[in-house]
Order: sequence, then C-alpha cells, then structure tokens
Amino acid sequence: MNTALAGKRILIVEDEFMIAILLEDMLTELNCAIAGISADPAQALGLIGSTEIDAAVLDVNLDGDDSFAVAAALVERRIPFIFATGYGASRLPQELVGHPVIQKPYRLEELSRALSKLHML
Amino acid sequence: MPEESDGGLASQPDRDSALPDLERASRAELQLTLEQLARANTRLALLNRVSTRLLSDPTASFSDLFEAIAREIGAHYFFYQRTDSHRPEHLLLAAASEQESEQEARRANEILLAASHSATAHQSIVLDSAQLAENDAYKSVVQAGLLSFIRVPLLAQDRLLGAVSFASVSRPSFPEADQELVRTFADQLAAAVERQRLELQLRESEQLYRGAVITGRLASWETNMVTRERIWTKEGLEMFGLDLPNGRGVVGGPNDEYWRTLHPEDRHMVAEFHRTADKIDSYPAEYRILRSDGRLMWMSGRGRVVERGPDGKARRVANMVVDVTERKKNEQRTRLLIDELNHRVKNTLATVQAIIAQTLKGGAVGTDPRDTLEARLQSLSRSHNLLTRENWEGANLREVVLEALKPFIRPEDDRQLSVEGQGLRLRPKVALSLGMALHELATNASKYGALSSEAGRIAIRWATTAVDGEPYLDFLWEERGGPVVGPRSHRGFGSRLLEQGLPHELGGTARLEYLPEGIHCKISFPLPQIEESAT
Repeated sequence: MNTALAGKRILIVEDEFMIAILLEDMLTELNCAIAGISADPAQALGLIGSTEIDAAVLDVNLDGDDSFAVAAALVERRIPFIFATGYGASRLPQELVGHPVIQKPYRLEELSRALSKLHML
Repeated sequence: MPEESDGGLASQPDRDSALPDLERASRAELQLTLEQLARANTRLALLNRVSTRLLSDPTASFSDLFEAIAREIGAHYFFYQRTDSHRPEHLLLAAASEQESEQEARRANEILLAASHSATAHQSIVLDSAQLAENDAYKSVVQAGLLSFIRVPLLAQDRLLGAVSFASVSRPSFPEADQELVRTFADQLAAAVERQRLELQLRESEQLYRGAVITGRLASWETNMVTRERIWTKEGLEMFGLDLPNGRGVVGGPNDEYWRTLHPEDRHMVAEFHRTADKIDSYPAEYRILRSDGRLMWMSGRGRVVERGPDGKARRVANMVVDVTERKKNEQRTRLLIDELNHRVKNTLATVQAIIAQTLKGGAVGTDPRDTLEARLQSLSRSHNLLTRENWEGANLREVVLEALKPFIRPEDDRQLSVEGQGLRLRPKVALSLGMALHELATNASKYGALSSEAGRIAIRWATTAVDGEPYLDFLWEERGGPVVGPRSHRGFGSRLLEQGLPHELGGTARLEYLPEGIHCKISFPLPQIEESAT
C-alpha cells in the first residue's frame, strides 16, 4: 500500500511481545523488512552497531527502563525513528522533543503516515 | 528666687530702719516657702518612688505605696478597687478596735460609692466634712467618723480599670495639692495596670501564636528593603535549617541566606517577589528550599507589605510560610500513579489489539475465533486481577498457574493437575507473560491434549537454579495420559507466543516438545529479585 516504505529495514524496540508481533505484522504489511526485534536497551544498542537499519520504532518504557539512550545512538548515526508510547510526548527529555510520537494503541495508517514522513536515506 | 533674696540679705544687713520688720516678715515668708519646697520635694520623691515601683514590678502589692500616700495627705483609710476583681484591697491606718473599724471603713466605702454612683464611675469624687454632713445619704458615713473623702477613677483611654479612694477621720477636707497628688498617683497606677493587662494579653496571644506555629509548621521572617536586613523567628530559622547569630540575615548579595537556601531552580522567584511587593500588599508564594543538610522541602505562604516608602516601594515585608512538603509529595505520587495507570491502560489496549489481530489471522481449523478471543481476553483479565490484588507489585507463581488453569480443569478431580514448587514471587511483567503462555498451553491441552480426555494428567513443576551465578527458574509443563500426539502440524499463535514471546519478554529460553505421551514444555528464565518498593 505504500511503495516508498518497501524494503526499508525497520528496527523494533518493544518489550511487550504481543505488541512487538503486532508491529512486526503491520510492518510486513507495509512491505518493510524487519531489521530486528529488541526488548531491552542493551540488546537494541548492540543491533544498531551491527545491523543495517533504515529507521526504528521505539517504545519509550522498556520494562522500567527508557529507550532514550537508544534514541541518542540513532540520532548520532542519523537513523530516523518514531516513538510509540502509552505516555504523552511530555515524557520526552528536552533533546528528543520534536521526534514524532504515535500513541498506543495505533492503527496501521498512523504507523504508515509517521514512517513516510521520516527522511530515510 | 529664694537663694537670690537670701544672698541679698546677707550682703546688706543694715540698709534702713524698716529692715528688721521687713526682714522678719520675709523670713517668715521664706520659712513658709522653704517648708512648701521641702513638702513638694517629699511628694516628688514619693511619686518618683511610686513610678519606679510600678515600672519594676506591676504585679506586686502596692500597699506600702498607698500607705505612704495616705500618710502624706493625712488619710486614715485607703481603698483600691479593680474592675477585674471583686475584692477591694484596703488597709486600716488608724483604728481603736481593728476588727470593728475595718468593717466600718468597708461599709463607709460602699455607702460613699453607692451614694456617688450617679456621678458616674468615670469621674473623681471629692467630699469635705460639710458636704458629708449636708447629705442624708452619708449619715452612716459620718456616724462611722469619716470627715473627708476622695475617690479617683483609674482610667486607660476612657476605659475604667478601677478606682483608688482615701478617707480621713481627722481632716475636714483634702486641699487641692493633696487631690493633685492622689490624681497623679491614680494616673501612674492606671498606666501600670493597663501595661500589665496588655502584657498579659500579648503573652497570651504570643502563646497562642507559638502554639499555632509549632502545630502548623509555620515559619516567618521580616525583610527590610531599606536596611537590607532580614529578621527571622526561631521557627523560621529552624525550618530553613539556618544558624544565624541573633536571627539576623542579609537581604541581597552573595551572603543572602534566604536566596542561598532556595532551590536553585526556584531562586528566580525572589526578583519576582520584590517586583510584586512594590505593587501588591499581599501576594502568594510557593517554592522549594534545599537546606544545607540536604533536605528538600516545599514552602507555601504569603508576603505582606507592612511599610511603604513615599515612592510606593515596599520597605518592610512580613513573610509567612507553611511546610507543605507532605502535600506536595502526595500530589506528585498521585500524578505519577495516574501517569503510570494511563501508560498501563494504553499498553493493555495495544496488547488487546494484538490479541485480536492474531486471533483473526486464523487459528486452527474448526475453532470459533470469537470463543478463542473471549478466552484470551478473560485470561488477560484474570492475570490483571491477580496483580491488582497485590498493588501491581508482584504475584505468587502458584497463583498464576492455578488462575491460568482454572477454566480448564475439573475442580472435583484432584488427580488431573499436580503443581509442585517453592513459593516464589514474580514481577508483574513476568506474571502476565507466563499467564498468557499457560493459557495457550491449557487451551491446546483441552482441545487436543491431556485435558481432552478423562485419563489425561498435567504435571507442573519448577525449581530455582543458577546460571553464571544468576538465579534462574526452570519451569516444566508435562502432559501425559491424553490422546497420542502426532508431530506438530502448524505453528499457530500459541507456539509463537511460547517459543518467541517468552524468550523475548523474559530473556530466557522456551522449548516445546511434541512427545507421543503428550506435550512437554520447558521454560527457563532469569529471576531477578522483586524490588520491594516497585510501583
């Protein structure tokens, strides 16, 4: 349904498996490739250093931890990303304000629109 | 003047013949003047003594002062009445029979007061022997032997505090000079009594204020913009954790103790307070302080301008704050809880969304997706109940297992399910994941496995081990006695949840085995300690 996103490698950072596979299924429907699914920040940072990634979808709260360190690593590598969270955007630290946020639960169209606006290389 | 004439007389003794007569007359006059002078001097000394006594200890008895005044004016009785006391103080100076005379004197005073009542209590009463004899109302007074009477009210700004009275049994009247002495004495006494009353009132209100300060955790201080000085109360110093000699501080500059105690993020408010004080008489203030001992406290109160300069700028500001740290903490806790609850609800909705999507994607042939969906949502709901019961701090492993299996087993058959393992508390996330996984295993067992036949059994066991020194949980699900299980036909949601979901969420491993006697599942995952104060 969205050719611009076809083949893009997307990293999923989400601690809840059910939500992760929902996102995986949605991304598959958008013809994206899954660069990896990660449940915790350390694992995600490892994937960022070792895998080709075009964009990422980050959950903010990873079982008590936050994903801001992951976001910072992505910013450093100029990899665009979106936050998917149950919290409002007010929860973001100053330096990350401005990155797109989609509210859980989100629909396929919302995810598609948010990803399409990213400046992927 | 007397000195001058005295000097004149000494230097020219023989000036003319008329001198001896004149001299005699002058000497007599001089003698009189000297006597008057000595008397005035005595009275002045007496009044001086009175005022010293009244100033030094206004609560002591003044009997000796009354006595001295009475002796000075030739009175034999004195009466001292206070509006705040019913018993008049009185003393008998001249008495043949003490008992009798005292009663007479008391009665005389009452009669005199009653008879002069119409004159109003706010005015002085002076009666000489002629006036007493004239009036029939004073008959008994005269019979008691009283010749003259003076009564002067004690007044403080028109408020009647009491009265002093003197009576004589030998002098027919009190001359003007004596009346003046009694009035001066009465004025001094009234001032002392009023001062004493005000001091008592002040002490009482001070005690009331202190009580309120202590129970209400109140701190106050005054800021003087002109002298650049801050005057703290004891409570203010204590609350701000300050140690200042004399309780005096500095307004402005690097040594401003108030500014230094404010939380760095709230210090900008000081300039705002000063600007506001120049415009408004009373303004609210709420801020944090960070005391030198490291304690962070929330203050809430008001600043009130008590003096302004001619330019309208605030000169002195009285400040009062209450410690609202507890209230603030509760507010923050509530906000955090609501935030957390919102997050949890959103996440749960996303999970439900995922469950619906997975269920609709298609399960095994012949199953009603509506039944499957309802059962999955109910399982999720039961796990939530379990956690809510323990404030979302954790759940007991055995309860998680029994809650997940409950809808699938026959309660009367105690051989169908065996559960063995030590008591363990699981973190909320682990409890939810395991609950969902067990629901999928049990659903499968009730359709195709051990729970689909009368003879089928499920054994659940767990034990803790250590992997690289970290505590691990080995959890086993073993089915037997059910229909013979063939090789796995398709990988549905259940197996995806078990084999991918559990390792993803718990960071361990999960293995499903399709053995002929039944499905075996082994789950291993690290078991971090539950933090006691987890939210």
